Amino acid sequence: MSTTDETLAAIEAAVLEVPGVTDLYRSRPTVASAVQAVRSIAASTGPLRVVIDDGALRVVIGTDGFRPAPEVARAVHDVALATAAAQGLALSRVDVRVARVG
Amino acid sequence: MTDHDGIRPDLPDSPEALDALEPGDLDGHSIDELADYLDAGMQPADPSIDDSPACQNALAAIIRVRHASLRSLEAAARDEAPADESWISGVLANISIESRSGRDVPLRPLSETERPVMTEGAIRSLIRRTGDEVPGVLVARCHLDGDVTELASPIRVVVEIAIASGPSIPATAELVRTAVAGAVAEQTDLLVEAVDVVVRDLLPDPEPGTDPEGAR
Amino acid sequence: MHHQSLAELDDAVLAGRSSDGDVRAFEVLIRRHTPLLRAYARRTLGSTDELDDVVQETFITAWDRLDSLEDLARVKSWLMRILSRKCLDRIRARRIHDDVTELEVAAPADDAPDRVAEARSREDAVERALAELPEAQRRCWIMKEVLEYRYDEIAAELDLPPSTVRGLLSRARKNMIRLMEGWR
Repeated sequence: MSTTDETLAAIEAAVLEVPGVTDLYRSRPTVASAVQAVRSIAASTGPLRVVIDDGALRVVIGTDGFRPAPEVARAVHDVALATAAAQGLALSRVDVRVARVG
Repeated sequence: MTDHDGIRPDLPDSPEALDALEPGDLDGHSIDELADYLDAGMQPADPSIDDSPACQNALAAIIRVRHASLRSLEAAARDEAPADESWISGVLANISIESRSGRDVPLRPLSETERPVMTEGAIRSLIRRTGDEVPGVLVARCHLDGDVTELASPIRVVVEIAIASGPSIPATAELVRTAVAGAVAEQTDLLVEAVDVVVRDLLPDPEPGTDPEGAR
Repeated sequence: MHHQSLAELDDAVLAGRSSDGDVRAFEVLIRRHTPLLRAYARRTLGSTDELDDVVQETFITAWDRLDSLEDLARVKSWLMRILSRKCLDRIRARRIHDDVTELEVAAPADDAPDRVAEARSREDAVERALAELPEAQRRCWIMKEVLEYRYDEIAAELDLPPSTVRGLLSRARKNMIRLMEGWR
């Protein structure tokens, strides 16, 4: 994996640990990916779910319906930014999309 | 006047009589005009058709053929096996929730690097679940009126529900309103100016012997 | 209310919820209408192993196009129209020549009425009568009378001028009535 891929993998792992995050979707989620949503990066096979687009990180999540979604989105943003910075990657923006609540 | 098949017994019913399906035989009407008249629910009423025995006979014949065809298909459907479970899973695996996500609804960013959104589909699903949890209620449809793509734009939430017979309708509607308003306030940053609850339907009574709330 | 009770709801409510994104409501529609769609596909394509695929494709397309369903209560006939389109595509793909063009001349065979008269039920009779129609007439008749297409939709679907469609339908209706009235 390239350094960017390692960073993205680290970001994915960190996002999944955020309280309130239940699912991490690919950019074009289908019901199949919802059903098989990755709970731990160790189980992940295949392409990464988070993408970088022109310096902006795109993350699509599902939340547990208990912790308020705006809070969860903010926490995901914070963790993604911090993880990226720790790996030497500066993100201009983190676009979090909540595709499912509860 | 007509027997149970809609045929008028006072008219000749030999095949030759129904060979007469040209406008000259149908008081100036073509068989297609009659079919279109049927499709329009026979509105507006046309006395030149309604009062014409030949037209009435032809209309009855058209109806008979249509009904037979639909019944035939339904009978064939009864001979088909029910949908296979793994086939159903295959269908569901291939439908895209993205295509029904609706507009992106912004959440309030607190810094320059934040660009959070929630899909309209997620919000509708939340509203549906919240409404469904009120006893005796099933959410039929729900939508958000207003420009949800603009933060702080006033939004009207409309929830159409079906209600089981029994509970007081106004009280139940109020429960739904409160629950939905609360859920939307907690889980989104929408500026909701009103939650309209519209009671659309009464739900069918459950089968005797079953618990109306059901088992989960 | 819990999800099992979705199975008792009428088509309009289920279609509305599906349009709002409720996958479970859509699943009920799938279970409810698959037998009818399979029966129609079987009649149109024959008993092939394409039936599973063409019905699956129908539901996948339907999910994407739910916004275009004008009357929620008519979701059943709307599904049939989507299916019919897909069946037509497959039939065209099978063929070398598209003989939907042999139009004005064809008529049911002379002994067609006899075959229809032998049917043991009205349902069987109508199927025999349909089988006796020339293909272009049969297709137009089914699209209009069973699937509830509009005239202009049939014309677009079959790539024919509307006047031709009306001509075909006119013949088909008369032929169907004559053939069916011979049945007792």
